Amino acid sequence: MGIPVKYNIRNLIVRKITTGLTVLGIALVVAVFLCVMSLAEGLTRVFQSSGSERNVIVIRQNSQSEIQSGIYRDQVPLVITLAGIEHDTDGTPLASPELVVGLNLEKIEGGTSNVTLRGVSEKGALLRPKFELVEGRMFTPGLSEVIVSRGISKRFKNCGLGDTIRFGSYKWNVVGVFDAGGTAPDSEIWTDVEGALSDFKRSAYSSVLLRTADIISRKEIIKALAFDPRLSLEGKSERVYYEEQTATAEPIKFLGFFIGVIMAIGASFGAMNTMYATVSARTQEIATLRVLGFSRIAILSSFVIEALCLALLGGVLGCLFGILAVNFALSGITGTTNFSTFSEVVFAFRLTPKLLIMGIVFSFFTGLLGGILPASRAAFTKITLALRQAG
Amino acid sequence: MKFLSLILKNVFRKKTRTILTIGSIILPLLVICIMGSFLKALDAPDPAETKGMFRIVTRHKVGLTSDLPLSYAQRIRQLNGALGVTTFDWFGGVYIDNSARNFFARFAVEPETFLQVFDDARVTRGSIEDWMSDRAGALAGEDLMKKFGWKLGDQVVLVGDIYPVTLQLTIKAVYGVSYGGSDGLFFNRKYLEEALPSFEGTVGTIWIKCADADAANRLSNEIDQMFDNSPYPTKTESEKAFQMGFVSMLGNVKLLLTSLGVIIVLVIVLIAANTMALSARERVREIAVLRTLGYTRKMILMLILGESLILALTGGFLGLAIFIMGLKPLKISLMNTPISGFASAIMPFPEVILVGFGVSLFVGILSGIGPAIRASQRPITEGLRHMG
Amino acid sequence: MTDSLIRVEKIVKRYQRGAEELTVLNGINFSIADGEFVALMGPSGSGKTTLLNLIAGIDRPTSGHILVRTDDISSMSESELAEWRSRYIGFIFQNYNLIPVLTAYENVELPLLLTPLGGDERRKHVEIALYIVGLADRMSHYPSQLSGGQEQRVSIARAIVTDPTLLIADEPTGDLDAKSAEEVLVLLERLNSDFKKTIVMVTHDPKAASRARRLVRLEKGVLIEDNNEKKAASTLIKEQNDVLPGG
Repeated sequence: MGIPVKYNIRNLIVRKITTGLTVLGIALVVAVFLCVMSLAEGLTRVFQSSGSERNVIVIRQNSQSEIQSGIYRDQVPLVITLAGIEHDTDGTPLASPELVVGLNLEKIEGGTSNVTLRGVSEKGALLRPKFELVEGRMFTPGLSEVIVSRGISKRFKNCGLGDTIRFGSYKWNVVGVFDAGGTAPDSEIWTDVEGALSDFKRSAYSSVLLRTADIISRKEIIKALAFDPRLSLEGKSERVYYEEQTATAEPIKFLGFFIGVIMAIGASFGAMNTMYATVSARTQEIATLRVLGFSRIAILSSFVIEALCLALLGGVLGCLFGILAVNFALSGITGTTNFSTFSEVVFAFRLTPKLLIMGIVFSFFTGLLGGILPASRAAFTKITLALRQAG
Repeated sequence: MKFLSLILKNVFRKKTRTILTIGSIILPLLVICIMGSFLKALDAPDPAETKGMFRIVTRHKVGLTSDLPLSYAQRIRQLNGALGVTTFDWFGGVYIDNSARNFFARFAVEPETFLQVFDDARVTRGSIEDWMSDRAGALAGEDLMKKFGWKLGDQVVLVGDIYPVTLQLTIKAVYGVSYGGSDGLFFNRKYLEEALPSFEGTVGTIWIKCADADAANRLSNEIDQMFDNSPYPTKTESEKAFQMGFVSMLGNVKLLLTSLGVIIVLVIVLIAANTMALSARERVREIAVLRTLGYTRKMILMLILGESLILALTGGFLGLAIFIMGLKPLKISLMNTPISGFASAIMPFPEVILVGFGVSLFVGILSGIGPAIRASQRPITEGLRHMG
Repeated sequence: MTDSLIRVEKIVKRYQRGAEELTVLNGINFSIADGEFVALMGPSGSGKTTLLNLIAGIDRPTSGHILVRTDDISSMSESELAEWRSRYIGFIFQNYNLIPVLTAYENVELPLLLTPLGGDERRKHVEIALYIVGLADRMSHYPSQLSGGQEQRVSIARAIVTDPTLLIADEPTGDLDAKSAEEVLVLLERLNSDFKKTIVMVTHDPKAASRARRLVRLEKGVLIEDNNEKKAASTLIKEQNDVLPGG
């Protein structure tokens, strides 16, 4: 039988100041870790939920993304007549040749950023199940009209409903605002693809988006494109395509862990100090417990548990701080750059339960690290010396 | 000075505690220095101011993904005040694979005019003549050579994505710069033109070296006006502004890193304050005895504050020393990670060192002031009565 | 030899103090029978506390054997000793050594946590122990809320709660005023005479020693049995009374 936990808890309460400082230190480390990781999570989220299961995006072979890809006009008919493409009610294939261009626009808060302008075909909106026009109307092809995502309209100048986006001799009227349910188009401006091709004097599309009839057809089409010698194109499941774009979140995740680990070690040093001090102050007590017959293991576990209580309290508090921070301070829609396409990605910080658990686990290890050495010292107290008895 | 020795003896009284506290200051301080370096690197000095480079960049007004006609470069050359004009095209492509490690800048350029505009680069190995004599030759940066272990004459294969061609380049020359990183690979645009006829006649960005600041300003406006109503309108800005454009794409990175830094400093203060509180609690009776001997309240305050300062500054100096000396190994170890790009920008900026020093000073004062005041204010009799 | 509870055979205890080696006990032979109340006296440095610690199993001899009933505790491992102590020994310290953050009840309950007894069982034992020492009404008090004498009595309750074979007391009255000391000694006497507890007590207080039924002296690591213990002790007291004014 071990030493009851209430012994540890009461000792923590009795030393209020030092317990408080240690707990707060650990809490801040956990909170910081959570904030950075929820940034990464928010970014990843955008890409993970983008892309429908049955959609296939066709791009030039070896292009990393649409921006780097080019599909010539004469190649398009070959693509949209492949077997396995679903057809619309009127018999036309559900396919959308598209063009993406990076626009350097001014942000409302100052500075500029690259925004993706996507020229879509008639079926473009249909192929995105989460797409929803929330204000205004759809653009009319050929009239230099565009629709913007809600996120873009809020962050960039002249991108609201009714505004005109100007560029030298270019002028586009914003006639509608859409919402894409947290998927990639939430960072885009849409217009008709032919208008975009002529405006930017391009002779090639960036990609073609297809809806396949089912998963099997999807696989067949990807295979067909891979083995077609005439077209040096490749097809990717739209889901897979977007997942590959998550390169953006990688550096941030790494940074989060890097900083988190270093800070956790620093915090565990602080916890170690606290534990060493309390062990030192309770030397006689510890000796007494040993005299009474409590084993070394019992003493060791007791102090490790005390350190864990400290750390877990810090962890829970840190999670609370993290939740407050993400939901209040960081709740505005934010943007950062998708490194593979140099384009703006609109996202929101996402603090998931998985991250919260990670934060708790983090604090757990901080406590373990900070408690094990002092606990060993306590356990190996030499009874007679500790009781300070004269020979 | 006797006072100082008393302070020092107290600081190192409990070695384990002192070491742990210093350790818990050093680690977060290193993080602050790394982040601070990155922030500072983002804030790269204007080449125009520091070196009189006065370079401006012209691109398609709409964005970097649109090209300009190559003829524009020739027209800009005619302008008064344009000392040199050269062209850059981002090739992209894949070197071995898409990992972060193998990502670096790869441009198709005009070797003949390249150094006219980028005259702050020196050729350290090989020569420009060698580079120009081989159509498939390449100019590589010293940092890149080191990173991949390349030697002059090595082959570098790039599999194109934006431009569907595979290039086989031979390193003919190596360059270095005195400030910043030399991690780019440049090859002759003629090679790409021959491989891909559609590339001929287009250019991504045009770089112009101007005579002075006035010329830079004037030319920026002149160029944009010249092409404003053409099918390819331009936007011309200073080199610094162009680079800042990439930075502002990172969103509020500055704000994020700064807030992170502030919180980290707070954590250090908490840990150091804890140490001071622990040691103060153990010495209540001892301090009361000092008071009976004649030490004044003020002296006790100075004693404890002195201890926290020495502790914090020791941690600060050690941390900064480790940062400066460990910089190279740190950068190398980060080369294979997702943040390799940022890692190469880390340097021992004097401002960062100063901030690090300021932080440890701040920590020393803030963590010690509470315990110092409490200890100095406690009545002597209460202190003598204190148990343990 | 009557049935010995404790047999100390040829015990030698040496310490290393810096460069010097000190021999505190030099071949002690000693035995204690069931139900005895032994006082161990001697000047400071004589080794009496060391001998006490050895018998209690909280220290190990350099050579020799200590047998308690049939257990040779001098050859037990650390964890075996811990278990042995929890079952057979009740230790009473000079400075009580109660755990400050636990109540009197919880302090007394501590040794019982090492047994398989359930909560209700434990409650019975604790209440009985506290009743015996006369502190049943102070169960939920913390040590800081008790007087020195009361603290020592809680400590005694803790020592008897597992019904141990042997009670070990190290200067139990050392930190107490005369009145509290008296209370504690009366209690110890009762435990020995009414409850048949075997007690070994280290003390330098002649009044405490006079309560014991057998006096043993340790001088320079050698044991001297003092058979006229009661007479000797009371002589000591008388001598002191003669010397000190007011007695």
